[in-house]
Amino acid sequence: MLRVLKRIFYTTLMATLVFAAAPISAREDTVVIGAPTTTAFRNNPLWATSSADFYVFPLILPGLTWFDDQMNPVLALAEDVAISDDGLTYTFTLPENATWSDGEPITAADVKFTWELKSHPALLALPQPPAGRGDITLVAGVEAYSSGQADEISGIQVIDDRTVSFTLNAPNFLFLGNATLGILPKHILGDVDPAEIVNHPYMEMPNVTSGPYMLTEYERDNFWRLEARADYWGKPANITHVIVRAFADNQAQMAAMEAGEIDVTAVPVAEVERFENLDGVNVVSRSGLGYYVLHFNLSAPRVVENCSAETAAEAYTGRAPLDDVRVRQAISFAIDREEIIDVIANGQGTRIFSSIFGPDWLDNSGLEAYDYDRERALELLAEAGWTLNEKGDRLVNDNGEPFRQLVYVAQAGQESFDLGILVQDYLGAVGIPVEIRLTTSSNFLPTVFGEEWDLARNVGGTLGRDPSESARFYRTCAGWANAIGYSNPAWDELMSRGAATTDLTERAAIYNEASRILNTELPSLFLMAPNVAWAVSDRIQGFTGSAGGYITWNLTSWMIG
Amino acid sequence: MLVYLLRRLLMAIPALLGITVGTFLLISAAPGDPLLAYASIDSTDHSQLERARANLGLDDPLPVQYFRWLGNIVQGNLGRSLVTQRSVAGEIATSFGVTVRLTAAALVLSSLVGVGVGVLSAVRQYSLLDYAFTLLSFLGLSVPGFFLGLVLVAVFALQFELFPTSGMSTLTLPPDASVWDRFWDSTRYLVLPVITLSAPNAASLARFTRSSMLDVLNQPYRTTARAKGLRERRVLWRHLLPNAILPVITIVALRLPHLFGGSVVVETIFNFPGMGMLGVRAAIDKDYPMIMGITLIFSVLLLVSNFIADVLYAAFDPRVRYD
Repeated sequence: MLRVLKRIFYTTLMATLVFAAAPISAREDTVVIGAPTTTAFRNNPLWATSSADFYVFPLILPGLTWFDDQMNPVLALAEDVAISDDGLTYTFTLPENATWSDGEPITAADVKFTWELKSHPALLALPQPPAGRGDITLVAGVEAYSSGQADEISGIQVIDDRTVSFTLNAPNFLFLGNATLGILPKHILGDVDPAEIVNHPYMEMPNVTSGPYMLTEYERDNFWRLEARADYWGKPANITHVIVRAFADNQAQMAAMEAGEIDVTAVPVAEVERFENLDGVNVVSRSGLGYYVLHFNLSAPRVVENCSAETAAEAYTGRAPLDDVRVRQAISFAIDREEIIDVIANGQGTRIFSSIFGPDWLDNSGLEAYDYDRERALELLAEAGWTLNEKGDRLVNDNGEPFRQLVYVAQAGQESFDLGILVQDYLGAVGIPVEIRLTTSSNFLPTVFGEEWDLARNVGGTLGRDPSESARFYRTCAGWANAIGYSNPAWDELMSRGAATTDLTERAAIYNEASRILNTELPSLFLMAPNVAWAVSDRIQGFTGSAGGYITWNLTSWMIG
Repeated sequence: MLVYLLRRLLMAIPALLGITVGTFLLISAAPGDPLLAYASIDSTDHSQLERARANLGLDDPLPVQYFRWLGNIVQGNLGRSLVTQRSVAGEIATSFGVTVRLTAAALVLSSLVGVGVGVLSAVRQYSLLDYAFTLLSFLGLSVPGFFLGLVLVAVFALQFELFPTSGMSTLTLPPDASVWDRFWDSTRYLVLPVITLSAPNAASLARFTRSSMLDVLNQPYRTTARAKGLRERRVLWRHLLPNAILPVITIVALRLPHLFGGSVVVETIFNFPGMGMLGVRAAIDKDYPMIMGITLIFSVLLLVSNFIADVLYAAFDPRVRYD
């Protein structure tokens, strides 16, 4: 018996060593990219919402435009764009010899078809309507089409096979950045009933592509395998094989990078040190456009459902005692942003003073920096009628009533928790108690639409490079994005003007004014923009990280060697 | 026997119904809204969402929702995921194989190791070896799977670079790699997750086998067999082990659901796109049809395991009669 067991033991040991010692040689002409897939996703540009989608789709199904590393919109599928003098009409030209990977020509009809699909009533009626990148409602006629009143989107005109024009509702500087929706092949999907389109095999495995790569294999939650197209009509890619590996767990992704199983990955700033001294790995980092703030609860939730300028102004009172702007300013002074950057972003981040930040041409003069100043906070609170009690641990008003306990809500996660603890400490130091409530992702928005919160950590998200993108968070009745219920007609007007103006000096002045309003009124506590960082194997040349996190934006220029 | 089996099968139906009702109530009680989990705050409007909710019948009273779900199940329809709109059955089908591969390998490994260690411990009772195995068993039982997994990755994948950190196979294999190479490759990826998943199972089996073996070591038939002049090895293999292993076999079958449960954690750590990972995500998203579908499959597996345990027990022990 013993001998048998010994034999089994040694055989197992030998087998283990043999397995371990003999990894099969991997091919050299492949780059492997790690992609977080913590959220459920569909393999389709109409629903491109997760990071992995934005890694893969620009390579196989690009939109008319995409973003460069500075998040400026640049032409992708389109070869040329002409903008009319009134800023209303954008006319895109497709390259003459552009073909799908099955040999069919890429035409203007494909473009119109895709945009109409995204706004089709049948798709909007789905439990999860299409949410691919780009705001299509800027285009004239989308509303009529979506509500079933029109058979086509009147604002999109197919001029000839290679030319398509978009007419906007109003001049909008941002339209190029919103023309990024991946174009789908009409010759494959054109005859499919839109109500049934989610069940079409192409929506799971888009094997006919327009970009520099083909999708040759896809396993959900596992990987995408891409191969450079031999018949690509544009500048061919240097690297023949690209694999995007899905990671549901960030620690597994970091371990795979450390072990050299993947070549490129985005790295949370807190993990950067782990790769800095690792042989064969370079760390690339730059300032990002992530928008890190804490929103104040300023409105009754019904406004979100039934919003008009009047109801918004009426409801914009805030939850006492946060309705007093001095209280919000005091809280802003009580927060130590430098320490938040140290703790949350490992020292790698930039302070922000309003939601308007990013480009070099912005004018940030006249903004209050809200440097940490507990005394100043207490002064402001005293002006608002709140003073520390005798023990010095709680604010009370003249009637001796204590300052209400504030509720901090955020999606569960280490970072949200750490931030909550810091906020609890800072506000505790000026006599304001804070309760931390963490929720699941599916319960976060319902919580924020409810009334039981005071401070909400925003759901991450990246602003575009253009300052007008932040409009959606604070515009009157902007819908859910403005779930906090902020309303200021003067600010709305500035943002509309800013989006419609092309002259940078003029825009800088407009946005400085808009920025000052937010900086004073503080609908949110503006904290920081964390840096973005990547670990890149040193066998990959030509990598340039994008401020928006779109890792593959210049992948066709990467080289192995 | 046949009557007994039929009766067992019929009894499984109310059990299944009970489990699904319980799950349904729990999901409904949990906070959150699946339609809001990925709602695009820029482009979705509220009335649209209300319409979608009405279309899906999410506004109906709970019993109505439950019986509608049950009616579909009886017709073999698990429904569609609220988040991806893909068919739940299809999603489960693609991930089921992954989970089965992991759990089957863990079942084999933990049974071999558990029984082997248990027998050795019993035969060498109170030896240094026995104490060492006892210590290891308690460690195996008490160390949580996620921690063991992380330690194994840190030591064997990152430090000694013996095994890959996560995933199912090397994606950069040359296209002309042989079937053997591919098998070899994917086996390397199984080693660490299977060890992680097996550890608690092997440990409890070892403890069980040890005590079961100790029972038979003092039985008179051992003395009889020895008196007949049989060699010690033959006594152990032919007379002692078959008697000691009997309760262990049932334990193996009863532990099967634990393996499926453990795969939830192991799949996430080692990035195995199986049913466990699917379930975790569905739970976070509050994706009712998906959670219900996965719970149903896991419950069926659990009831089948119990059933197998009973049948095995009857088959191996001639004394057991079910009439």
